[in-house]
Amino acid sequence: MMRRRELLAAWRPLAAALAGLGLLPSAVYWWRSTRSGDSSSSDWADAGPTAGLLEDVWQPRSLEIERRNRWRVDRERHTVYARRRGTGFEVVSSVCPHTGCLVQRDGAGFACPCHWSHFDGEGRPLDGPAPRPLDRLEWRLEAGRLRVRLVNFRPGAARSEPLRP
Amino acid sequence: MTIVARLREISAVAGLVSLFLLVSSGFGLGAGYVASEREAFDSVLFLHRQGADAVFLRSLHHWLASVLVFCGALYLALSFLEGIAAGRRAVFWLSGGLFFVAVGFCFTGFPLPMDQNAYWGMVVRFGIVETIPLVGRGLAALLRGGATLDASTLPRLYTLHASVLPLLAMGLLGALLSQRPGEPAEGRRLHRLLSLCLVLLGLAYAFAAVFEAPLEPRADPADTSYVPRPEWYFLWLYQLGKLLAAVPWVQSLLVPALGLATLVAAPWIFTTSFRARLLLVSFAGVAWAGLTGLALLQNRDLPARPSYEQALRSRAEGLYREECQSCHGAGGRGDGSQARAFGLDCPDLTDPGLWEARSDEQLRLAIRDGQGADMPAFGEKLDSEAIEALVDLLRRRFRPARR
Repeated sequence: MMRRRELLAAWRPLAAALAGLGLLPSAVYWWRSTRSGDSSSSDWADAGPTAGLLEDVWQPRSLEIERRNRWRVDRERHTVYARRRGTGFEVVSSVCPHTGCLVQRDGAGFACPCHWSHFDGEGRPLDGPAPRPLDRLEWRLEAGRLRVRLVNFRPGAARSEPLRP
Repeated sequence: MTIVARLREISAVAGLVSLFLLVSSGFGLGAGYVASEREAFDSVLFLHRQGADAVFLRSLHHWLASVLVFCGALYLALSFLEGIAAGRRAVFWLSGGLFFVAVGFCFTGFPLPMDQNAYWGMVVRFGIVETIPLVGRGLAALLRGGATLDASTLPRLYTLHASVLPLLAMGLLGALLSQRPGEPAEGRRLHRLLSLCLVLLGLAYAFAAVFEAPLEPRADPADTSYVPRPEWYFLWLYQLGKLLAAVPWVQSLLVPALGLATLVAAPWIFTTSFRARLLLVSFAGVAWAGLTGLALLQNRDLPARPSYEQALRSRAEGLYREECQSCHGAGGRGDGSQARAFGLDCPDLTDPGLWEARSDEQLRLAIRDGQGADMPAFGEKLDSEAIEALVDLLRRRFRPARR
């Protein structure tokens, strides 16, 4: 059995406790402020008139969205691809589902310049490391204009998984 | 151990614990801070709204800065009193260097929140630096990034605060620790010191949990009414500057130079007489206390400095009186003189049904964009902060208590 004096002399746990306790508040802050705690602004953005969209031809549409970014409000620009499909439309995100580079049109489909993933005209992966088809975005019509719901998806996941702030 | 030696040890341990906690809380604060004069205040305000644990970090950082300065000064005075300065010159000088670094931390950290206090304090401090003969202007320009405050000022101060000075402090601490303490700290003694550290840490946490670091309104360079006042540890120097206003370099050059010279020469001052050393330390203490007391006395009648929240509230109250009351009425019942005179459709803001039907966001939009035929849009006139403050005021004043 340890004598009382030896027990008292066990200073290492004390030093460790001190360091741990000292670093704890900042560690907690780093972890809990990964949630920005604000998603009040709408993620629907205007993607231009539907008139120019053709059946089965993907067209890039640039859209602007106002996003609450912690203590700021930012105006962000994004590109999506849209086409007419029968009576409705189809919109895909230009963000490659592999690591998040932006895909470009390549023939009838798409190609990602970062790791050479190729996608067919339906957005399905043909070859390369992309783990899933290009992510579909919700759309709706408002007075002849296409509105798109901008959402980010988890890169690298096997299925579309929306990311919430 | 004499009482002086024990006190010296406690002040050294408290200083080191403060330094450690200042660095560790800085890790957290740095993750949510932007050193830009446009965004700094908003980022600090955001932190304040993030909740108690975030405010705790800032409070800890804020109060411990004072503790560090206090412990440093106390340690140096007690070391000198005890005669350590003569026996262990290197330890004394290195501690003195560390103390100056601590003051540097305060100087560079003070402006970072960019509230009124930070901004005007920074203006005054740079003004004082400018009065140093010959080098003042150059030094101020070097710290400030030019002849006036501009976009590079905060990045420079932040770099000094969070990168250059910590490196300096680390170097000095390393040199200090390699000096080998008088008696080797082992076993029970080390255990006792570490226990003391834990107790001090607990005290610091308890204090920071109870007393919130102040945050004043956003810096307003056009506000002529604001009277900046220095932190308590600079009050004596500030008072001295007021007394010797005709010779500003006494405050900016002579006093710091004298302090530095005293620190360097301390190992050779009154080495043989404890009584003479005691007299000198007492004199310094009395001079400090006298000047500080005089400053506090003279500042008694200066206007109080409202916190951000207080200022926002009174702004909202003023806005309600000027912009809203003529229709909505002082009691919020929609019975203001205009509403009655013109028979306007003005809701009763004390109606529980209204509060149930509308979210804060809807109220914000109603103020910003107008509502119905009679309520004008205020989006052009009021910024989003004012609108939010108004919604807050309506909620506090008119929302009936929930049953």
